[in-house]
Amino acid sequence: MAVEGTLELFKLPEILQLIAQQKKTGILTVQGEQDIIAVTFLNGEIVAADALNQTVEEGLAQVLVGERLLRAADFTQAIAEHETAGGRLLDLLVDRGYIARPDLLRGLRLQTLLLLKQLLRWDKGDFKFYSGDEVPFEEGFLPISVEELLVQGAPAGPARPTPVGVPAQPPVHHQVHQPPPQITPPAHEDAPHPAPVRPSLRVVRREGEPPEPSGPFRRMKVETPPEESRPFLPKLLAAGLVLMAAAVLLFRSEALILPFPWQSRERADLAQDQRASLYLKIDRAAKTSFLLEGHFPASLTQLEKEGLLSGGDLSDPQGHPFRYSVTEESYAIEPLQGSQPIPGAETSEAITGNFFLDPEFLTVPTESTAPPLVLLD
Amino acid sequence: MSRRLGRAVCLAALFALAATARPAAAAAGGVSSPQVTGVEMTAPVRRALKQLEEQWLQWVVQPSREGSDAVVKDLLATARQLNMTRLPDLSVGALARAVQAARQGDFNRAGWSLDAAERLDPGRCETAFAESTVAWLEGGYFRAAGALARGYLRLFTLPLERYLWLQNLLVWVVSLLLLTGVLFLAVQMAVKGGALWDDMVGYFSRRLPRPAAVGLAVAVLVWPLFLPSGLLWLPLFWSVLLWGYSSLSERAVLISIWLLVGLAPILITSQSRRVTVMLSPPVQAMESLRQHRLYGGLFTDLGVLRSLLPESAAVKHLLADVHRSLNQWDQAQSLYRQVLDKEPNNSAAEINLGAYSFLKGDFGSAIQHFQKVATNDPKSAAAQFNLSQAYSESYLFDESKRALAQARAIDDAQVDGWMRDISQQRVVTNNRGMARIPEIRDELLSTLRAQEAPSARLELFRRGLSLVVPLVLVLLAVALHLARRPSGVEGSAEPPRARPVGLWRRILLPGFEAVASGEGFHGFFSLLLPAALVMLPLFGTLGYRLPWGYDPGRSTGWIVTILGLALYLGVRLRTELRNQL
Repeated sequence: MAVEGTLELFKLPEILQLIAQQKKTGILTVQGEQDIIAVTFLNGEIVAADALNQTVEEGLAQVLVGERLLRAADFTQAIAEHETAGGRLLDLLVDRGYIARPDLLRGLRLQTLLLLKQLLRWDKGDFKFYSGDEVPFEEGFLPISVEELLVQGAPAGPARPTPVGVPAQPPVHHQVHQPPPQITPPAHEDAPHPAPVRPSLRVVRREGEPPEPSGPFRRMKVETPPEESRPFLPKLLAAGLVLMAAAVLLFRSEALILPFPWQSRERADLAQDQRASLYLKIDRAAKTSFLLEGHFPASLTQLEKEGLLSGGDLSDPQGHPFRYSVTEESYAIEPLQGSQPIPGAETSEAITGNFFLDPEFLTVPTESTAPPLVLLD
Repeated sequence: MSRRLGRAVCLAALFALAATARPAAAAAGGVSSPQVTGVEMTAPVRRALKQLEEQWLQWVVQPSREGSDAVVKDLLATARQLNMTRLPDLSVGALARAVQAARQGDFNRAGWSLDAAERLDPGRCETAFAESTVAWLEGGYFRAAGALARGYLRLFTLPLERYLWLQNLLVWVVSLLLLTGVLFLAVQMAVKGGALWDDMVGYFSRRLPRPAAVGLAVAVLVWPLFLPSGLLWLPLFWSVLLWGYSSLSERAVLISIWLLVGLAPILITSQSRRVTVMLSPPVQAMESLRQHRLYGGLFTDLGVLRSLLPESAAVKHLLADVHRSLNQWDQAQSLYRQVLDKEPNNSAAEINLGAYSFLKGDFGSAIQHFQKVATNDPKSAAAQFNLSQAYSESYLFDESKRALAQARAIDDAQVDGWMRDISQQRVVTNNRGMARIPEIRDELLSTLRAQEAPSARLELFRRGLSLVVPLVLVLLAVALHLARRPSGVEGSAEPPRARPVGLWRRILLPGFEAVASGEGFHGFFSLLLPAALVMLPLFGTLGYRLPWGYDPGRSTGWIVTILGLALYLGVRLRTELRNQL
């Protein structure tokens, strides 16, 4: 099904927004006074754009050289190699190390944007939207939202990047799974290329038919590839990292905030501070128990039952369980690693020095029974 | 010796002396030995303390509210004799007794025990927590929730607890940000690791057979695990590898994470040192003095302070004020003289020394002290007022009137206040020793630093080393980015497009969509909220335990976490469903 009209009746931004809002997939062709531009949509977002008067390679070369992602000399050499080697020029550029694929994609996106900005300035012409389920676009191409286009295309920009001596490329054929109806472009005497119509709109490949060996788009991607085709290992590693981080947080939290190997002393100090605050809490609880019962509790769990400690206070901040021993006037706590106490981490407290608990602390002198010394004047 | 100022270490030295000094102390009779009681104590002070002990035993056996109220009143009256207004140990004892009674079904006793606890140490969070437990046991669930909330609010009015809570908040926030950083990197690896993997395998395949290339790629991804602190280096290494595949905002997030990794240790180490001092018995004793809280070990802890800083004028000044507030003027004047030996222009000590002479009836000496202060500090109304009193006692009435007029000229309102209290206090004294607590804290901190830094420069370098890490990582990322460009293995600076994922995956795995779209900050903050909710129950355990006398438990944190997560997921579900429609 196709929708068509003229730009005098519907402005391009309106048409683009309509397609975006309805998340349409298909191709919009706009025939202007001097050129024809085809815009490919996937789910309402632009994934490719072609012009009749300029091949993708030409436009791309201008952008890549203009953006200093590729040297003109390299491009010329690549063309020479392409003529002998065949295949796709874009593949050749990547495979032979002239450019990294991400840079190529970035250039392709920029070139598409420039073409679209040029299109936005058209106010005369006819348009036609061919709706379909599948459209061709370069894999890895970051879709351009209509919103982004309209924001970027609002101010008047240059129509196209200035050519910098990049030789024109012969036209190549695009591959289309489900082609839109053919349109016949007007003949342009000034057109620099022999092909009057963009091949991307003309070449049809039926389902099951093998792809053509050449063309500007290396991989024709209609839908996102199935999830299984993605490498599984990075996800597995990511999951492992999350699990390890959780384990560190739970069992060695000081290693999360003091992570460097040369900070072992700081980690020990922090752990000792954490233990000191816990010991202070336990001491208050134990002495409160002494105040009420006249002796220290037989076990720390007794203090937990009385609500003076919480369950988490029965082991040290690093999760080592305590060995608690008590005498008549004192108690000792030792964190255990396995069955061995951790050296330097133990504490012991006594009632000594506490005037509420230590009966010997206050030795109140009794009143003197000796006869008073009286001085007589 | 470690840098700790722990009670055990300090007391070991103190009580080693005490073991030999005990017989001498008992023989001394009038004034106790400081080795036994921390600070010297006269017989009246010890009698008052003994009286507190006996009154507490009376409270323990009280069967009724009336009896309890009367004993509590007596306890507070005795404490006031020592210039104290709060008895924290007894308050915690009373609230523990309240909970015991409530568990036995005696809610009447529980009620008046809680009242006693509140009167003995007003405004404490422990009392509110115990009240919550009692209300819960009684079946008053809303009252329990209210008391619990009140307890947490009270936390912010208590200096030590508030301080530790804020330090815990700092530790928790730093841990949360670091954990979120790790999650962010994990999400990045899950979303963009595929492209990285493809590039690595592709690159290695140029020179190696594919199985070897795959093996090498795995080795490159996991080798940091085998370094010391491998769990740190692994995500940092991945972040460098993923730099080339990240958008601008993601790179900004990566730099922020690196900076945080470098800064966090410095922040935490500095905090840890201050906490060490705050948790030390001397600082607790000083804070208790400031709040007029008399706990069982107060005097012993003050003795520890003296043994730690034996030459400090500030400590002597503080202890002199303590003795004066206990009405132990002889001990106070000795310390004031030592302060003046070190600080001859210390007007506060001079005035109190003059007050001692005045109270002893040595008015000539008192006049000399007050005149010295008046000369050093002509704006001192207290010096002029005390001079007028001393002149008056020496029958120098003209001088007395002149001094009083001068005092009124300096501060009339204050002089009026002193005149009103003249029946209780003939001359004005001051508590400037108490005001030197921050100075003493700084001295303790300096002592600690001096103990722990034998080689200051080397130590400074070691501590600052973590800051070098972010710098190195930035350089490494940029270098790798530039180096890979010519080889055609460069990752995508533009974000790859998000794949359409299922509804539940979108809801349950926050941050994936944002990271896939290259929205770094959005992705980070999407992970931050659920991470914060999950980490909430760890709030009290990641940092320092609050040494409160009654524990509220951890149920509150778990309840907030579960409710918060449910709400969060509900909102996400609703948003997703709305977007679908």
